Amino acid sequence: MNTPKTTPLHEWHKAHQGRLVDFAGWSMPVQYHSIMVEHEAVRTKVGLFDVSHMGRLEFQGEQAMDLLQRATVNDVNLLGNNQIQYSLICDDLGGTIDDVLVYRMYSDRWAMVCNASNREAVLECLHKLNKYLARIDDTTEQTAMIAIQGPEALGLTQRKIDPSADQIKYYHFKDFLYQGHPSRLSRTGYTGEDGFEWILPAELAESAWSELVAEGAVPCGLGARDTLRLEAGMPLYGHELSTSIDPYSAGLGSFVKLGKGDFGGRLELERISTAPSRRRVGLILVDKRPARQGSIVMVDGKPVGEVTSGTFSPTLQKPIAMALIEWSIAWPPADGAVSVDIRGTVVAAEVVKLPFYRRK
Amino acid sequence: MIMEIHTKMSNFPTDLRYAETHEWVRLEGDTATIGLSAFAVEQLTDLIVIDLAKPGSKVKTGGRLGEVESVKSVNDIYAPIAGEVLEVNAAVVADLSKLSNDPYGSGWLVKIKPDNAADVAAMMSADDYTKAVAGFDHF
Repeated sequence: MNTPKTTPLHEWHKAHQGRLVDFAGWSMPVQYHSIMVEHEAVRTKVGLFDVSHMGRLEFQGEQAMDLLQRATVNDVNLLGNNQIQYSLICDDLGGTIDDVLVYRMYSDRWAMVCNASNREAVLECLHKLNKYLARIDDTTEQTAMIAIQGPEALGLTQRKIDPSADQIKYYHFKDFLYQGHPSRLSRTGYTGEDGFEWILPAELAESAWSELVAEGAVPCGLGARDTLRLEAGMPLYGHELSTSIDPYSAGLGSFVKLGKGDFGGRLELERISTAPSRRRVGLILVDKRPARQGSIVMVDGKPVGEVTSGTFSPTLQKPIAMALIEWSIAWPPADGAVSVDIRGTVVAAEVVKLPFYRRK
Repeated sequence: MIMEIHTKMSNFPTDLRYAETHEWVRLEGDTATIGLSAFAVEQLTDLIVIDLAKPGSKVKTGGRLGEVESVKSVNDIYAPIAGEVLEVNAAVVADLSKLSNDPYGSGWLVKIKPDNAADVAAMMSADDYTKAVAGFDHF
């Protein structure tokens, strides 16, 4: 196996008891001490995440917009300057290559953030479509990306990064100079809380991170990132999305704009839109043990689908799970009909609407 | 228990014997009390639920004695010696903070009657276990 890549914050993680694991080819902290404590910090105060492993791409040129319109399922025409859009990239069969954020600076300057595990597949797909000859730059390894998340994220960001951060609306961003260097601050996140994601030059990352920690932000690892996004009902590639899961089955059909003109996967997606194979649902288990990815979900004792993500919810203090269920099964079924096989033990499950947690 | 090993060192009581899979054993007469080392507990953190073998069941050396689940993962607990399960610590099953806070005392897991008491002496000393844990430290 190749040596995992390291982020600009790697030395800091090592020096601060970060438990480093190989994630999508990157050495990343899964937790510093307790996932529960880190999770709680984000729900009640403010947490920091190193998300430098995420892929960061820049697009330039008159044809950049056309390229992104062809590559992604959402309609980039809906974006104003300094606005961000959640979108997906699909293959010809309607399977999902990745879920991404598309950023529009101007009509001829765009950017994208994609999953670390899919950066190469996304680049391959973009280059294949790029007969329009937009310029594509992969800036992932020259930059760092820090997520600042939680009810105190705004105050902290205003104090330490940009006093006018409060002017950045949800799913908007601004490019500005931080200590004389270009950086990008967006009102986005993956936790269900208010917060920001900040892209800055790699060489500034450690001092910026340390300053945020000194102000009381709690460093959080991928473990808390996962429990937080799961409570917020957000999909994770490799779990709720994959090349064998289309956006409609994943409950993300509203992001597919079939009427916008041609784009990757459009023909198949049009067909799938009226008859998805599965639906994404939320379950709360009536026991302490969480179901994990792959656990079989049953209705009246018959298998109808699989858990895609499951954990113990620190906020609800109950095991929660997302699952993909065969579309033909009437949902929700009668009370008491749903159960999950957790490594041989059948446990009753309560059907709930996603998300499991919504901030007040 | 097999897990990703991390850096922090613990002080292991010298009156106990240890397994590579992080269980400890205290032999008193015909009864061996088994628990998880503080190192293992530190590594797991965020414990949710524990499941232990039933009293009366027979376990083999290296056989499954139960499982402990954290927010992040499910981990098997192995029997460091063979024997018959005499008693399970119901208090720890009901409240896992006992295991987190007092792994060598109120956080004990099961008592077994060893098939062969000499198996306990063959396990690692606290010194050996300290070295074994350090040896796994690959970060």
